[in-house]
Amino acid sequence: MNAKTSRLGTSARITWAIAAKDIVDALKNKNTLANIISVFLMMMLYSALPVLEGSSEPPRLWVYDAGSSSLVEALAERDGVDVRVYPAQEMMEAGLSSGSVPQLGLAIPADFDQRVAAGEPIVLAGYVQHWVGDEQAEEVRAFGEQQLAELAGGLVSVDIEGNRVYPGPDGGGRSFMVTMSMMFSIVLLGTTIIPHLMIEEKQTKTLDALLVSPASAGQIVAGKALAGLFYCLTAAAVMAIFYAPVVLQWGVFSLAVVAGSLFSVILGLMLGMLLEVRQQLTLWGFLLLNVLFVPMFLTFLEGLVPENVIAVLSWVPSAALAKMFNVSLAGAAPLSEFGLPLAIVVVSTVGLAAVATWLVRRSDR
Amino acid sequence: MKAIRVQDLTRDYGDLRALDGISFEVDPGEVFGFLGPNGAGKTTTIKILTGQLRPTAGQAWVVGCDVVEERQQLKPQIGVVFEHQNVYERLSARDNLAFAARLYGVRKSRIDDVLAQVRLTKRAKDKLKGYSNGMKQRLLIARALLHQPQVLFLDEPTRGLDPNVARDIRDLVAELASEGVTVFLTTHYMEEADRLSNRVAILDQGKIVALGTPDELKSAHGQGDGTTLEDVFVNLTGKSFRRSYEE
Repeated sequence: MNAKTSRLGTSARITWAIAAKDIVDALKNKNTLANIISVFLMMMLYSALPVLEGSSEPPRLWVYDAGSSSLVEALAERDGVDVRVYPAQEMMEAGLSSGSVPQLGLAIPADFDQRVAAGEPIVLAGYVQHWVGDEQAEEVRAFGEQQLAELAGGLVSVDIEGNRVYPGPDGGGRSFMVTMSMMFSIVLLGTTIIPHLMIEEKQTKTLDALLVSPASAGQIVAGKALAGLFYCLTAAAVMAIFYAPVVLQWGVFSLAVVAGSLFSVILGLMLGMLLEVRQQLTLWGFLLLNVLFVPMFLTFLEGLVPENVIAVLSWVPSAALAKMFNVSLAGAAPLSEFGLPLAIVVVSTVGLAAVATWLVRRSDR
Repeated sequence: MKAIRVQDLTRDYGDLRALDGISFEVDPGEVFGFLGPNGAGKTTTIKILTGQLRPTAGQAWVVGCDVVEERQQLKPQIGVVFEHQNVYERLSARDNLAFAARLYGVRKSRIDDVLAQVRLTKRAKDKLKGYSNGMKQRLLIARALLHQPQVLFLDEPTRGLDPNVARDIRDLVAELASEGVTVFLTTHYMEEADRLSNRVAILDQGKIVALGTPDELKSAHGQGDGTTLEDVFVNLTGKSFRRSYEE
């Protein structure tokens, strides 16, 4: 028992020594540092896109018009406002929840025109996205109320108290942006940092020195994996803080972060073990990222891509992982929505880990 | 117990036989010169003896450990100075050694000892990018000595160094030998092998063609007084060199 404990302690010490060296070294290595910086730039870009989009377009009103009101028709013809009308409240809420900038949804009752004609004051139910702060919510509410007042003569007010909308498990807009941001950071860091570190060890022959030290091939690979996990999880933690107002299902979010980090780290390990020089990594890394990201993008193009193609592509681990992130941003996360994607990511990770273990054993001479 | 025991060691790379059934023994505290032309199998032998490569046939033991079956037990007993200067350039000398110390589970005070031993104490905190080749070579030796190995493998330790630094390294090797460390040395410098080695093996095309003390080899394969180890080396390995040149 003591010998076994001692062996475990030695193994942990060696693995941690390698991981700690690599964690520090990654910040001094211009290739890995460039990857870390690009991930954070990507995050900033995805965060800035909605703002840029919002500034170039007129404010949008999402309207459920139960009685085909003439006031809504008049509202749609006004300049300076973009009105989207839906035949059902659920559709209006789904549309509003996909908005990436703060917007207002309105439910117009069937007898709206008659009540306006009768000079009766009307309080309309207004809706805003769940992540919008109170101040911004009041701004969009006041804007909508003003538009209606100009048409209906001050009889109409809008009440948004308690009316927050939450995206569904296939949410677009801001949910899509956050999902992409998470995917890029985790997958990009995992699949680039580790191979860069491993290839450098091969090119500078420091790997030979490691292999004659008490470190086994398994401990070397585990050390690199720990360093990669550190960066994936750190990036995910920074993003989690940044996107905290948007994340609704923290359990699913955490599962996606851990499963996704393990998946990308193991992919990175395999690249690092199989490739010898940086030029190979540039080529194979580019191909791998395309294989991972193209199917994932296509699964978000519902309506443009045939349903059966989306159904097939959903089995690609990156698409499954993106689905998990998307579900974590939804108002509800039943197991039926994230169970299969989680299983796909876990099974792929275990499968890749088995191949990586075989590669390690083979490389151990 | 012998420091190194090699028995019928063979290593093939595909159709190429790099080592062809070599056998030899090295006593504890001995400096053993392992000489041969390029491609003779010196580095392959070191890789097998340090557990980096499996032999195709034959067996080898270093400090009693089978290099195939007991590789993990062997590792803390040996130090290796590679022919390439494989150090972490972005780290300082001290950080390079601190990393090695963590791998070997060696106390930190030992870092100061080896830095002093290779005379790098004053530059210990400098990044290696500013180091000369000689300083890096001294650092490699410090790293190999950090865990106080019983056997030190030196693969062409003075290659490409200026004469002053090379002499410095040779003095260090002699000092280690006097302290009882077994040294397995490969080199292309015959004078170095002659001066440092207690015994020498000459390898040619994967086979040991001569084994003995430098004086024994000179008298057995030389042509009278004044024969140098280089004469013996050229005499024994020159045929294959000339043949390959003519081809």
